Amino acid sequence: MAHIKKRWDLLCWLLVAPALGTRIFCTLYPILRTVYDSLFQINKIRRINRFNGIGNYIQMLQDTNLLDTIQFTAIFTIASIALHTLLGVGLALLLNAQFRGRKVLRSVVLIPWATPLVVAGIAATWAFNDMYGFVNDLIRRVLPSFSCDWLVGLATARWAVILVDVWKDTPFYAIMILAGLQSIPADLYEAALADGSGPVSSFFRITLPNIAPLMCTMTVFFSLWRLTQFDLVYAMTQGGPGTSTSLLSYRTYIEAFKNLNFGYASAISVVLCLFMVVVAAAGFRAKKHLDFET
Amino acid sequence: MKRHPIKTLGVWFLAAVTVAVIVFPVWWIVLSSITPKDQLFQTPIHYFPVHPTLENYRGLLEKVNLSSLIRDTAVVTFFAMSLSLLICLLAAYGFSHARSKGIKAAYALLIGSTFLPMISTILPMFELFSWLKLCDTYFVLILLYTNNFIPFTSLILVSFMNQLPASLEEAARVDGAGAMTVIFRILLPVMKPAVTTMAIINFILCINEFITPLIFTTSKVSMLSVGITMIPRLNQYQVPWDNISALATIMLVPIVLFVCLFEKNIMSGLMAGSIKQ
Repeated sequence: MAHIKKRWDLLCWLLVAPALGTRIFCTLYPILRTVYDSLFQINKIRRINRFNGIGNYIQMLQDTNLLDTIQFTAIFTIASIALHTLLGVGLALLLNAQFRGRKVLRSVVLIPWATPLVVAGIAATWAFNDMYGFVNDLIRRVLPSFSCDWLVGLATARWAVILVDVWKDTPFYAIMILAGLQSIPADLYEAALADGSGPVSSFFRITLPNIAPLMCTMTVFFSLWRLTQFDLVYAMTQGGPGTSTSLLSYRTYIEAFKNLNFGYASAISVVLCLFMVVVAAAGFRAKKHLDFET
Repeated sequence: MKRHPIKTLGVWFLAAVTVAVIVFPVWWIVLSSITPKDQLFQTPIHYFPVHPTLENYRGLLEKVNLSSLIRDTAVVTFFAMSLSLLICLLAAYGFSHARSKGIKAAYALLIGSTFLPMISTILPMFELFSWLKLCDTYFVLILLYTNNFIPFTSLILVSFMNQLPASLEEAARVDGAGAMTVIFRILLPVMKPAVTTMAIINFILCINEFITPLIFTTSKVSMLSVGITMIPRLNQYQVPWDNISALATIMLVPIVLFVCLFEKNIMSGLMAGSIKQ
C-alpha cells in the first residue's frame, strides 16, 4: 500500500513539475535574486558592482523624487480603489438586474477589460489634449469657454491617470462582485420582501453583508494591481509633468533601464514588495474579521 | 414578476449611461482613424464620419512594419496559449489528485506567487537572458508569457477538475489506462468549456502583455503592444494621433468582436476565478 501511495505521489509531482518549475525559475528565483542584488551598488555604465549593505535603502530615504513617487502611488491606489468600490458595486447590481438588453451590457463591460492598457493610455494622451481631445470637446458643449490642459497641470494629470484606470478596470471589478451577487440565495430576498423591507434596506441588510468578504478580497487584489501599475503611466504621461504621475514600478524601470542603476532599482522594487505584503496582510486580517461576523 | 415601470426606466437609463461611457472613447478612436489628418486638428469634433479616408492607415504602413508586428504577436500568442493550457492541464490533474501535503503546499505557493510584481522579477531575468543571448527571441517571450498565465489557468482548471465525479475516471483506471490516457481521453472532453474559456482569456491577456516585450525585445521580434508606443511622439503631450488611432483600431476591432462573440465564456471564467479566491 505504501509503495502504491509513493508511486502515486511521484506521478503527481511529475505532472505538476513543468508548471511549478516554470514558476520557480521565472518568478521565485528572480525575486530572491532581486532582494540579493538590492544590497549591491550595480551600475552598468560605470561597470560598478560592489557590496553596499543597506546603502541603497538609506539613499532612498534621501531621494525626494522617490518619496514623491511613493506619495503618488499611495494617492493613486487609494483614490482608484475608492472609485472602483463605489462604481463597481453599482455596476455589479446593474449587471445583475433582470432586463432586456442585459446581454448587450454584459458584452460591453468586457471591452475595457480586454482593451490593452497601453492603447487606452496612449489614446488618453490625445483624449485629454486641451484643444483636440474629446474630453474637453464634450465639456465645451456645455461650457463653451472651458480650457484645461489636463496632462500639463500636476493635479489634473494625476486625476486623468486615475480616471483612465477606473474606466479600464471598474467593469472587471464589477464582474468579480457580480459572481458574489449571484451566489446569494434568492429566498433571502423573498423573506425580506415578505417582512416588508424595501430595496434600500434589503441592500444594506442582505446584499452588502453577503458580498462584504468578497469585496474585501477584491479590494486587496485590486490594490496590489494598482501598486504595481506600469503600462498606463508609461503610455499616457511617462511619469510627467516632472515626476508627479510616476508610480513605483515606473520609477524602478527608469532607474534600471534608463539610468542603469540595477542595484538601486532592485532596492526600490523590494520596498514595493514590502508595501504589497503590508496591504495584503491588512486586507486579509480585515477579511477574517468579516468572515467571523457573518 | 410584476415590475415597476419607473424602476425599469431607471435601469435602462443607467445601462445606457454605462454603455455610452464605455463605448464612446472606443468609437472616438475608430472614428479618428478614418478622419483626414487636418480634421483631427479642428474643433469642435465631428462624432460621425464626414470625409472618411484610409490615408491614416497608409501613413501607418510607412512608419511601422505592420506585417511583422502581426506575425510576431500571432506566433507568440499561439504558442504561449497552447503551452500554458497544456502544462496547466497536466498540473491540474496532479494538484487535484495529490494526497501528499507537499504538493498542496506547492499549489498554495504557485497561486500565491501571482502577486509578486513583474517589475521585481524582470531585472534578474533580463540579466540572465542577456547573458544567454536569448533576448529578442520568440522563445523568451513564449516562456515568460506562459509563466504569467500559469497561476490563474491552474486555479480555474483545478477547481473545475475538483468538481468532476471520481467515477468518471475510475472505470478507465480499472481497465488499466495510464494517467495520460485518463487526462487526454476522458477528462479533456469533459473539461472543454473550462479549457476553451481559458484559451480565450489567455488570448486576450497575450495581446495585453506589455512590460515583458518592452524589456525583452529590441528589434528582431516586435509585438503590437510595444509597436504602438514606438511610433515617434512629437513631444510629451502630443502624439501622432492619425497613425496611432489607426494602429489602435487594428488592435481594438478584433478584441471587441472577440469579446462580443465569447461573452458567456469569458464571464463564466472570470467569475469562477472570483469565487474561488
